[in-house]
Amino acid sequence: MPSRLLQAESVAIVGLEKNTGKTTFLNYLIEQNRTGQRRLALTSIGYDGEATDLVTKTAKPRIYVPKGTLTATARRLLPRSKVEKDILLLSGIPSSLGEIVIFQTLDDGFVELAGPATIEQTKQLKDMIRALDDEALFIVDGALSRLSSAGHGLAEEIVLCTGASVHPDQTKVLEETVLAAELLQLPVVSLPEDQSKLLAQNDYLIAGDDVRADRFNGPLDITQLIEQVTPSDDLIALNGVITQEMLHELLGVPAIENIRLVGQDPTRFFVDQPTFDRLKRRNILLQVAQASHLALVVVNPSAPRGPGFGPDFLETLKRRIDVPVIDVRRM
Amino acid sequence: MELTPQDHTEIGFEWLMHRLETITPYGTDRAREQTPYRPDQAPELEAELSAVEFFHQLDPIKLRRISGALTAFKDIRRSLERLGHGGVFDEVEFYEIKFFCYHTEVLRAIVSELKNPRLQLIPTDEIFEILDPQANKRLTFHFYNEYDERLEGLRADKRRLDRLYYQDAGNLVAMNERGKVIAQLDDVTWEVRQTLSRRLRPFVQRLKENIATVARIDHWLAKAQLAKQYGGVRPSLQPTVLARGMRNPWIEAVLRDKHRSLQPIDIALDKGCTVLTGANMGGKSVSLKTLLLNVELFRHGYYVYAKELCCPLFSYVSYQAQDQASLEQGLSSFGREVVMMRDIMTRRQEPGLIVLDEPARGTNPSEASAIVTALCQSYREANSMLLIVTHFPGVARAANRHFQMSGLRLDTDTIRDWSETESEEALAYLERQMDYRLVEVSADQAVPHEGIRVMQFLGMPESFIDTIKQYLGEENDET
Repeated sequence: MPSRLLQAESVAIVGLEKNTGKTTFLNYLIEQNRTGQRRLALTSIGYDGEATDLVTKTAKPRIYVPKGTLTATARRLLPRSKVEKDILLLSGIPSSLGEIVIFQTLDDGFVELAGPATIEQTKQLKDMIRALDDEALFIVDGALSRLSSAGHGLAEEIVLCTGASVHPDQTKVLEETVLAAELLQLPVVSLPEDQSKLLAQNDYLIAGDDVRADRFNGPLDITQLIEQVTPSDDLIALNGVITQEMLHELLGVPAIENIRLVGQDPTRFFVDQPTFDRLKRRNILLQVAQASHLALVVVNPSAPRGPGFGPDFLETLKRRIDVPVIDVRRM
Repeated sequence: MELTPQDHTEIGFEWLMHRLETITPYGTDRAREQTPYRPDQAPELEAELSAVEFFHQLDPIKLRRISGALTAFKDIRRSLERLGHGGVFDEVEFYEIKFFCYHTEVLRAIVSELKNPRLQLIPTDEIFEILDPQANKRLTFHFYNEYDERLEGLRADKRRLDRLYYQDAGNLVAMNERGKVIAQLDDVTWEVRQTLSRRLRPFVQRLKENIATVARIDHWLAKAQLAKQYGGVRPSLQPTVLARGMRNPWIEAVLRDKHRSLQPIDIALDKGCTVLTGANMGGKSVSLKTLLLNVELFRHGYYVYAKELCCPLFSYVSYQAQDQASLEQGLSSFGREVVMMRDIMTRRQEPGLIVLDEPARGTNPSEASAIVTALCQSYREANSMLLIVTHFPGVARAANRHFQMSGLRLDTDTIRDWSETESEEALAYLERQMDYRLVEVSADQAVPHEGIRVMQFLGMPESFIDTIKQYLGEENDET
């Protein structure tokens, strides 16, 4: 495992699905840190629930944290976190399982995580944790396969978890994982200050010989944008999400090619593999304004039901992805 | 009969309440739930105003320290209710109480320096000590080992078994034993929660009283800030209304956006009927709204926006706005007015305030004029104060007092022909010449014929104006 994870300011662990080994990896990361003695601060986005291990009877690992760990979790999960806890702060951030409470563990023991539902609230929570300890390693567990926890500058390093539970079809999972990894590694472009300011006040910005920015006529309606693009332009930047439909519209105009398409961060792109490939062929390069660093891909080849994937899955991934790929069972 | 939320919006009360910056949920609720002081509550109103005055005069550094201390307060009322009704607290609720006591002490230290008996909080150290058995004064909470001698041993056992369980989830012996220890620990913790809840229960009343004090401090401070923000003064309780240099911050703000300003107004009301007449340029409705806003602020124990305002406590305040009546058509709107008139007339002998902006507009003018005059007449000996804006000539003769808007300061020398292109400029000039101040005049003072002067000024043909004057003369002869 890359040691940079333990030195990072923050780490997001995101899964393409449940049972992709997120918690196993989290426990592993905590175990690796034990010698380093760095204080940990844990939360999650949303709630994974522990029901699955009751249904599938697989030994779903729980999060075992050392004494002194800062934990942010929903109030109704406190009785289920069977560790001695010192309540430090009531965050005021609501969740479906009650207000998010920050406590410190007074002993080694098990905790259960259910954090805020949105990125914005998770950021607020991070600020509160930083006020308590600005040195701790902040770890976000991206529940429910929400890649979104990786984005928006919430975490410095990203660990992507994938495996047989995503889909029974190995090829399909392979493609999905490669695409997710590619998006998480999109090159970063830094817009000139005047352009980022302009973009912040609008929905989109086009830059070439001159710079134009405007708002969309309707939600996700990029017709107006497409009409404005000229062959001399070399950059289109968009503020919000960039959907598959928008990309198809863009691809529908043959004149649009050799251009950079900038989103705020990787989570803003909703794109499938064929579309991604078409964009590449047209030399429409996806880029992001905010850096995120994919540090590691973790694979869980076994599935709660069914045979799971063979060793070729891991090998193929290693060949196709240029960050370290590890098997969760061999950590 | 009382002012409605709609009225509050129209007179600018709502706008000001939006700008009231209470800090705690307690202060916010006190502000929202406050009802007008009744005529028999004069001492309470004076006490409220004195408290606001205290904060109004307080050193800004002290004010900032108080608001800083207030920001920490969170709402524990539901938890207290639960405890009061025999509920057993969990660790978060104990934390809430500890947190509340901690910040109560912070605030208590600040306000006790102010030597004002009305701001005194009841000491809570006794409660804090229950929740701080290690006496380390830290603002965190857990079920300390000190609460029960069994806790330490059980926790050590659990720690060992957790470790085993984590290392080998298949270790059924460890798992089984761990389950037992956790069950025991849960039982002991439950006992601790019950005992602690029982120990806290006698303090519920004390905490509630402190909440009420925090709410008052917060609300008074916000009232004082609101007074400072828009230049308010302390009103004084008197049997009749006397206002000098009265303003309406809401209308001022609206006009400022249009680069215009509002002239402060003076008015006085006694029991009985007061009539307000004057040119039809919008100034009278604004005057009514200004009066109503300040009366409403006064009744709620706020500072008022005037050089001076004397006012009695009214048992009710009613307002019939012009705009409201025009929303509906014909008889239905007139019918509503009649219902209101009928209701207020039954309460004539109460100390109320009724403000009517051009009543009876929905019926024909000669009938309407008679209705309004009769209404004035019926209030001559009333205990309520009735203020009526009207255009009908002769109504004032039936009233106790008569105010008139000063109106146009139009120098006849400046009258010239404005060409069509200059119309906008002419209208702006005209507006600048309007004097919105109210002046008390005799009961016989005629309703001014400013319409004609405006027509002259804007260049209507002389012959046409002569015709109007001719008709006017005939009508005056008739009355």
